Amino acid sequence: MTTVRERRAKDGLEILLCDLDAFYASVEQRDHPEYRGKPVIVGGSPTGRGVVSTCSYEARQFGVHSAMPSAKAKQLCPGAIFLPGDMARYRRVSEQVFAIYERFTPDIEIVSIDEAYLALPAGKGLAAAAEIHRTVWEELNLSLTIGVSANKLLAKIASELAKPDRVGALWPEEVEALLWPLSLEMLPGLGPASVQKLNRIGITTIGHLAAAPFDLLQKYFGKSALTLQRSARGIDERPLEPFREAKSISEEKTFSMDLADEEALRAVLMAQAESLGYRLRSGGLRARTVSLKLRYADFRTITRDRTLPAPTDRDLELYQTAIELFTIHKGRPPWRLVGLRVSGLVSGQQISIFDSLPAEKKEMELEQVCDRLQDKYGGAVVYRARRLLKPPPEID
Amino acid sequence: MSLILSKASLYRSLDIVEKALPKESPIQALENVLLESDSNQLTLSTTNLELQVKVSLPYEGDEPVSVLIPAKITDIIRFLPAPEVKLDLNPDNLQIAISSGRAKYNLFGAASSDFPRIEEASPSHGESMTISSSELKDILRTVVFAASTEETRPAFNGVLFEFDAHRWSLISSDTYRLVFKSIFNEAWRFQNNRCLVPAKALRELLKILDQEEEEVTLFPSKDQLIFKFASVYYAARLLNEKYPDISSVIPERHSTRIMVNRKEIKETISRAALLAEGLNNAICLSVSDGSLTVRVSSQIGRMEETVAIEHEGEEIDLYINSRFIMDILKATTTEAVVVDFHGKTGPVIFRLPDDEHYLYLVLPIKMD
Repeated sequence: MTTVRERRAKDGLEILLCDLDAFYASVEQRDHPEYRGKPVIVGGSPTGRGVVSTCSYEARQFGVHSAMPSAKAKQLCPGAIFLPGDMARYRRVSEQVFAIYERFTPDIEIVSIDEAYLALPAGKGLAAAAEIHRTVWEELNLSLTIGVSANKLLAKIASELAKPDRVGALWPEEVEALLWPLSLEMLPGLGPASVQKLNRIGITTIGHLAAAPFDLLQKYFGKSALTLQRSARGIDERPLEPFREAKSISEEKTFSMDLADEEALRAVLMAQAESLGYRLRSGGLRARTVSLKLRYADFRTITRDRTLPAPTDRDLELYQTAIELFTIHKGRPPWRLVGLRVSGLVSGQQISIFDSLPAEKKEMELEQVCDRLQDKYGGAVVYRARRLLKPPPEID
Repeated sequence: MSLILSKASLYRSLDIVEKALPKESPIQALENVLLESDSNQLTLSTTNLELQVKVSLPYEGDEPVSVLIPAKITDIIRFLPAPEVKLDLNPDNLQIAISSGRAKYNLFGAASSDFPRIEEASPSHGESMTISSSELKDILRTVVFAASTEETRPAFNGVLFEFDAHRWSLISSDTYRLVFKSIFNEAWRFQNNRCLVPAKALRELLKILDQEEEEVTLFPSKDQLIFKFASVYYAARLLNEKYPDISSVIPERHSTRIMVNRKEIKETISRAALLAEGLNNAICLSVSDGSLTVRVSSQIGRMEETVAIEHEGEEIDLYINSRFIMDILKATTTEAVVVDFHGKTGPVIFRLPDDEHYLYLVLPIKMD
């Protein structure tokens, strides 16, 4: 006889929902010991019309929650520390957290800056979750909550039930005992209006919804009735969506002093091409269009595009295209700013018969080695000699 | 010169020569149809310098003529009201009077001295092959579609013809997929010869090869490949490009082989293609125990469909351009197709059960 767990192991995956606790506020408390143990509110100013973006658990005790007008939060919790937030810093920290997730699985769907679904082989979910929880705390001093289950829906509910700072599981076989007694508000995707509608027809718990006659639900919810009832039964077949395509990637440099040396400018373009190539390759993307941005000494700024015959992620092809555009549009030196942008991004690389030809192979292997070095040591470790030509002064 | 022709046969002849008529040319004479006659035939010729086409019509008369007629003549003949057309050429002012029923035209012709002469070539050392128009059509239809229409790598705008003793081989590719086809005929005798024929000329040829059975004679001559059939002389100038050696792309051993009903898979892929988007038109194929699952996931939504197959070898799943698959399924007519896989990033090879000398290779899309 096979147990439920073994059956699940046969068909595959366990899903983790990793949710950083009160993320922005936690980063602030971590980096400013004086904020620890105090209510911290990141968001709009309490004197303006802004809203709360994130608040620490200390602030939540006063009834403050996210999306609440900051002015109201100030009334509820007059002693709170209000901070405008530093998105660039949060994003950097978020990247460090996601890098930890990547040690455990390549299958990651990033939901937001502080939330991601991870897929692991069946049977490995809980152990990985505990390990991730410990690693994030030890390395980054941040707490997070992880929900573990067989699908995204149950993993999300598991994390809601477990939070904060814990790992919790909610398995399909536990749905009846643990999920059904809960009120409808606990079901993700069910808004207040729907909850009210359901309450009016006598459905107040998730269990009621799971057992409700389908015809009745269909009458009130039409096409979404099926998904609704399946959710209540803990069924969710949405796959992980690891590809969330960016529309474009760009690099830009403003020079602290106008740059008149064309060779130096070419060196900047090479650095930008290499950086964009690296970012494309590490995202598994290729770009169809290359755009050059130039600002002349008189502040006139132009952007010129060129579409490639086939999408590329190759440094040299990006560089050569940039140079072709530059040659046509360089105007008169000096230049204040130069930028390179790639767009028309496609995921997946159509393999060509040339990929097996010796010359192409050599250039590709070279790029792979450089990428690995960059992955390992950060920043450009090895680069093309063109970049050595008179590094210009720059402002980031 | 004065003659009466059937509107249908004159229109068909003009429709054929129009394939080599340039819309615009630096040599103005080329924007015309050359009409010539000798004692027993009338010929219509055009050329865009890459392609030369000449059609002859029966004619009985004594005065030789040579005049350029404006390209508009094709439409004029097409819309004439009566089944017969009368043409009169005034040799003094080169005007051509056309009359048919109540329609009458007077076209201004021009002297033909600027028009390049088309010297008809003939096969050297009897090096030519003859094939029925229907067979030639079938071959070209299953080969030419794979050639590139982009101008970035000019060699791939051509179809490589290789003649060797009794064998004629064709290779066509756009660097992402390729067709390899060969035909063997005891009656053919060739010296070893390779030529790169513009796919464009072959696409136009496909349009004019008649449904009716007729013999087509085909032979290389200097920098041209000549097709002769019925009253048509069709000469394509060869591409002077180096075609890379692609033999290493075709692997010897497959890891997975499936056989699938062509019509069924064609319908499935065309449904999947509705959601496939972007440049790659990517869809996912998964082969496992007796079934082929086609999946696509895009910004619009997802679809999944399973087709029954015969399957041997490993299970596999990979991403591939749906358009490339549709091309082969549309170009062929067999009941079933055999598909060989060579791992996740190796080529996918389509074979026809009744033709061991045909293969269509598609390289997959790497998702990393």
